[in-house]
Amino acid sequence: MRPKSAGLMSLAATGLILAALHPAFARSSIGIGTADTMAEPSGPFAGLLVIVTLYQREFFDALRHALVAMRTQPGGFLTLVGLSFVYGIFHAAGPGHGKAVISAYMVANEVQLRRGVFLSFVSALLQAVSAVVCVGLGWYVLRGTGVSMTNATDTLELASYCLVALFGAVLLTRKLLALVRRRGVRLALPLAGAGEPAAFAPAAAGTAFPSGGSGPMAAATFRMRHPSLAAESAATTVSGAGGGVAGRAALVRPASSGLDASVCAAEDPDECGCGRPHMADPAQLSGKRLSLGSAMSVVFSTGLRPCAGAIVVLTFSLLNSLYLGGLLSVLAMSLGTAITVSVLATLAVFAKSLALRASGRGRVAALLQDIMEVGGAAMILLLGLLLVGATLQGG
Amino acid sequence: MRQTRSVRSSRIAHAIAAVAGGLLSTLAGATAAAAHPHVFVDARMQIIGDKSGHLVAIRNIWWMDELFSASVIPDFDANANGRLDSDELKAVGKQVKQSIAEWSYYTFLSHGADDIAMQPPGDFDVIYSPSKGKLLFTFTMKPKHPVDLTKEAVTFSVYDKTYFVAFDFPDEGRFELKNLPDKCRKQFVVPSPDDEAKRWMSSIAQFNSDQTVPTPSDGVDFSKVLATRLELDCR
Repeated sequence: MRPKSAGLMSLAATGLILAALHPAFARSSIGIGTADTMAEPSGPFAGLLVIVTLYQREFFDALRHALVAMRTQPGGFLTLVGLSFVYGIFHAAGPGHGKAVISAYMVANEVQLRRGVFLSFVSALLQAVSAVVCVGLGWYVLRGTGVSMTNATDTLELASYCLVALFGAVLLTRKLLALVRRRGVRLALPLAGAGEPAAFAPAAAGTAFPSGGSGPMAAATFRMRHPSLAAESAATTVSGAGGGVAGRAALVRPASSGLDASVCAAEDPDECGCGRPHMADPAQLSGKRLSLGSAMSVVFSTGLRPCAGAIVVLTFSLLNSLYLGGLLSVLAMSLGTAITVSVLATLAVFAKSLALRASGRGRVAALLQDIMEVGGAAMILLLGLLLVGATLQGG
Repeated sequence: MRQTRSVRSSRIAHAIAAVAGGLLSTLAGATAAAAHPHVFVDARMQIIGDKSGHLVAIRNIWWMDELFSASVIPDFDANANGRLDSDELKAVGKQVKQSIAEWSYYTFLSHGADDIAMQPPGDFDVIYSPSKGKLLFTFTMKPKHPVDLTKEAVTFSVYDKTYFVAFDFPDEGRFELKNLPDKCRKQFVVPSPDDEAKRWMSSIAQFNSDQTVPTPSDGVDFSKVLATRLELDCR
């Protein structure tokens, strides 16, 4: 089976990469508090990261002093909030898997810019809430129980990384299945022959709608792109909501009757195959159907784990009765974080729309796209496995 | 026709976006590496010798920052009375001593390119100062083998390879010489982060596709590069 062997290959590749990378540190070196999981940095960005790290340190240092000063001098909220905000911006540009998951998710899927930005903000907010909950639990519930706040944050961290791996695995499976279906379409085309558009159209449509469930979505997509034809086939497509057969019949009709010349004018049948699936790309359809699920996965896998900076800020605030200061600081941090992640997500989407204009053609490009889409999903899985491995090894 | 082309464009767009996203992800993933410090230490080191110019021991005196000191309380306040009692402070010391053993107790001595092996500390004292709101860690380490300071210059530094804890030695006075010959000369070296960053930028600018980015590009080595150090010469 193709999906099976593809899955095995990606697993093997993952194993190889994991083995090649050095195990990283998960628990903080001092044994108290949870450090950001690390892996050896390399590549052309290493220098930039060092600079980001230096800024992070400076801003965290300044924010720490502002917070400590509030213990003796009232006020200073504005300074604290401002510093926390800037720290959040730099912190998100530094360590963390959040932006990796969000940008890879947006690459692997057809995601609107607005949605990407929204996800960034929601997961950053969840991270702030998670820190508040952790510190609250640590102080009011866990204290004296032998289960420490460090244990709690460690557990959340591991859960978060497991979610990343799981989300990557699900996304990768979906991409691979969709890929096999699409490639199936292409294999069927040469058999049908370029001279018989009516004959290959049903075959192509048949493989493009493998499940009955995609009927209504396909109809919607179809109506959007072929408004004039949609009216003609509206009755049959609606009835196709329950079962695939009726839906297929309805969608095949335009191709086999009015559109045959324009649907496939290219000499290369593969080019037709490239054009066909857009009517109901299974990957896109399932992506839309599972949008809430995948959005939740993104939010929880990136936001569940509280950051070490927020934890110490909140604990100090709690112990010194600087409740408002602590909360505002952590909220400002998460706002800064959300902005950086949003900017990165926007860059990904912007690159997409920019590329829309600089269009190309050919099967090499299509192949590249498949590889990249699967690669995006595989990257999330790999990142998740890497983080889980590093965390378990360190703990 | 127009539709077919736009579909192809979107595929190409996908590919390009995938590359862009991949780059971003790589950036983000790799960044998981360069963590920044969350714990700050106001540090002091005593370098204790004898009149013959041999190194007897070094003593680390670390004031932990207020935020870290506070964050320790929920974890170690076993009787939930809101403060750390002496047995709870002992537990903190035990935990820290055990954890930092993996990181050479953050303490590094070397002559030239060779590391000087140190024995693990015996006692690890932890005191909490309510007025400062800070924890104080103190511990002593002895060299494994005799170190004759009159024969070779020795470098002393304290840093965390994982970059989670940052040690601050604001001035030369933070390295105190005890019972050492008068001829010993101290050289206090504070690497400039800006210079290091600039060095990094220029090394990146010269980076060609057929070359690998030269190490120490990783955060681990960077922590060493940035560490304040004392070069002691008693020759």
